[in-house]
Amino acid sequence: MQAPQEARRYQPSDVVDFVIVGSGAAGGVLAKELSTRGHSVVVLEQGPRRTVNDFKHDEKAIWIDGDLISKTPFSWRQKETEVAQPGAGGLLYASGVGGSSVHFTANFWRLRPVDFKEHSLLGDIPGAALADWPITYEELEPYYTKVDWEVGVSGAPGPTDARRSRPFPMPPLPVKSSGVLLERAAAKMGYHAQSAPLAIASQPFRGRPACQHCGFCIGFGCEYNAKSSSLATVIPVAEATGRCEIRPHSNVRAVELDAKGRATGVLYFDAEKREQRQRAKAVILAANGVETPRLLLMSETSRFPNGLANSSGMVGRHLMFNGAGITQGEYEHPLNEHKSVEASRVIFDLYDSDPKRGFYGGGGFDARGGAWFPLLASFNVPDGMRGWGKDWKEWFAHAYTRTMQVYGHTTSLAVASNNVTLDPTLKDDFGRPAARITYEDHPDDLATMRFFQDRSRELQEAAGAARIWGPPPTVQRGTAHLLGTARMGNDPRTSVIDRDHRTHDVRNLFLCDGSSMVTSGRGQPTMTIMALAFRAGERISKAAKRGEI
Amino acid sequence: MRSSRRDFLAALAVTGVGAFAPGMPGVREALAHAAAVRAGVAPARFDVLTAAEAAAVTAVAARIVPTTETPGATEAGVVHFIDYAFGDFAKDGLADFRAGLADLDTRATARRATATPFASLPAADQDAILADIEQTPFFGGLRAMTMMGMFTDPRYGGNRDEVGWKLIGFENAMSHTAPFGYYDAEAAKGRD
Repeated sequence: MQAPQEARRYQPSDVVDFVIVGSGAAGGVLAKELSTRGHSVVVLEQGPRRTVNDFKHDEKAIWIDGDLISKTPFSWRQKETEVAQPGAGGLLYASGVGGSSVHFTANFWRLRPVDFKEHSLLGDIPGAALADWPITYEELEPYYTKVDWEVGVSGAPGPTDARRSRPFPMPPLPVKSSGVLLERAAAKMGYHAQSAPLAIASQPFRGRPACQHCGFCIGFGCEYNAKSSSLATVIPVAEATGRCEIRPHSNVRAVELDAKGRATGVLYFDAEKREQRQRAKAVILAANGVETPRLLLMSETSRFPNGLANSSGMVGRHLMFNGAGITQGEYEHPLNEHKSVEASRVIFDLYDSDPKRGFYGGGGFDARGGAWFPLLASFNVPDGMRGWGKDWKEWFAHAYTRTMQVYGHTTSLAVASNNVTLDPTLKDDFGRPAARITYEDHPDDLATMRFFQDRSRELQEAAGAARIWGPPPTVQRGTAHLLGTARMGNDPRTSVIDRDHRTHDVRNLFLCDGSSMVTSGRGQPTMTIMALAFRAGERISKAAKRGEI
Repeated sequence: MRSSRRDFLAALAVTGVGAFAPGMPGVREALAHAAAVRAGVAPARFDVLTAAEAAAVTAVAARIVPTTETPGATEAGVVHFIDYAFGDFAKDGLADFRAGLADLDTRATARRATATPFASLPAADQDAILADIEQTPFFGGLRAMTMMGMFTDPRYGGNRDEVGWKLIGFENAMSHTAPFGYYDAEAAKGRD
């Protein structure tokens, strides 16, 4: 959709209260929270503005051309001693107003109390920088509830859920065949299957229609606005205040500071690649767990030779993804997992890390199609089967409607050598240094993935699968979850932002997105990123009104 | 082969389509072509492939997804998708692709001792040659392209009359209603 007629336009020379870099899960919520509290806001988004009419059932456009994902170049390596290679590995984050909340799967798990204090509970993990969050679940709970009710989450509570202060605003989506099979397996194994919490409207909600079960969620933009993206929910509210401008095609080059070390705004390239300077009283980076540290590192000056807000040396460090332990199962009768939402039932019985396993880690399961679109599915060939010819054709024609994944979503440990730095040679179209990703899963993360794959296989067996397959987990070379690279903490020596998302080093510079997360949770980070943004927006606004920015 | 989406691009690189489609640019230029296909003006000629290349591609695709009692790559018009692809998002890989097709003819000739195009071999000989090269980037890329021609939207020239989707039971609809499959239908009966 185009911005509404009444949406405010600012000049770059206007000194607005806040300039926010990024319009995704965090940036969209922050824009809404700050503009509805009376502040003037400009949001700079690198990508275009799309409408529901731009979204289509087109597997080639999404999965081959990558129409929704960022084309910004990056390089990748496994160890810091290697030379990173351009294009190796995959960063699947979306580019466009609404950010990755447009194309995400919409699984909306809250973190649990344990996620915020695992270091206190478990102690040091060798080779990792496990730390407690400076906030607790109870402090974040009201903001999770805001996400439920202001953004829109469907679901029903489960037996081990953390306390919630209000019920879900919408009932769960209908159970799918995969959900029924997961319930069956859970009962046999002594686990509990519960409704998957989803940021998808199960009934008409705040002017948006209910899900029509078309099945094009994961990787796609919703053609009905039933998916609760920033684009469909909070951004229109922000614009309706008349105080917020969303400015697409704006690629930020640096945060600017004055002689006193205060941020004065940002330099960015506009749609015509002309350099512009948006002035603001305060700057908020919400550009994601790779782009936020990249921008801080690009903003180096003689005053901050190692990058902005990086006196701790922690900017870009502790990159976390979330792991996966997956099997595919084929069943006797059709499931038709290409219909409706990705997952309808989840299991949280193995959520906590259990020292008896001999390694750190935990996770949750869902049963799902597994991006089971025809083209993607055709690449998923069972172990030992030749993937072409008459036999494969007959198998695929039979099995396409009869398979599901049991997907174990697992923890990633913070490891100092997993990080985002600037590539020394690779540049993007604007001449900006590309992000260089260094990532190798911690041995405990790999052990956790294997453990969850083994349990996944058991669940498939318990559900009655006729054939089960899946490659063993290996070091990850791609992700859509970008976490931990500007972690929150009370100690300026070991963290980048404080509990209010203010950088320790620059009083009027704030960071809020996946980079803020201290631990990875068990997958599905967007719910937490949005809750953090609701909390940050409230606290930043209050600080501004008290004259404390 | 991996199943999760984040591994898909990596999987394409492994299968070799990455070699044909570096950067995987957008599809805007294809829209005129797409409009022609939608209008029923199916391509009667090839924009990129020569007649001999088209015959070879048709032959290989027909071994990857053979025509049986159900339609295969030939009926889906996979060769038309591949012709489109090498004029569009995969054009940087055309030279490597042509080298791979030439290699097929070399291998065909080696089996027959006279100059023989791959497309003219009996199916069993074609299968034997393809089995020899099935681990190569060329074959992986051609398999990937064949899958695209079978299963992507018909607007791109393949999957004619949605034969690929019909083959596997994929229903391309704007809405579905519960129950979606056998097991949720059975469960719903039990709860009623």
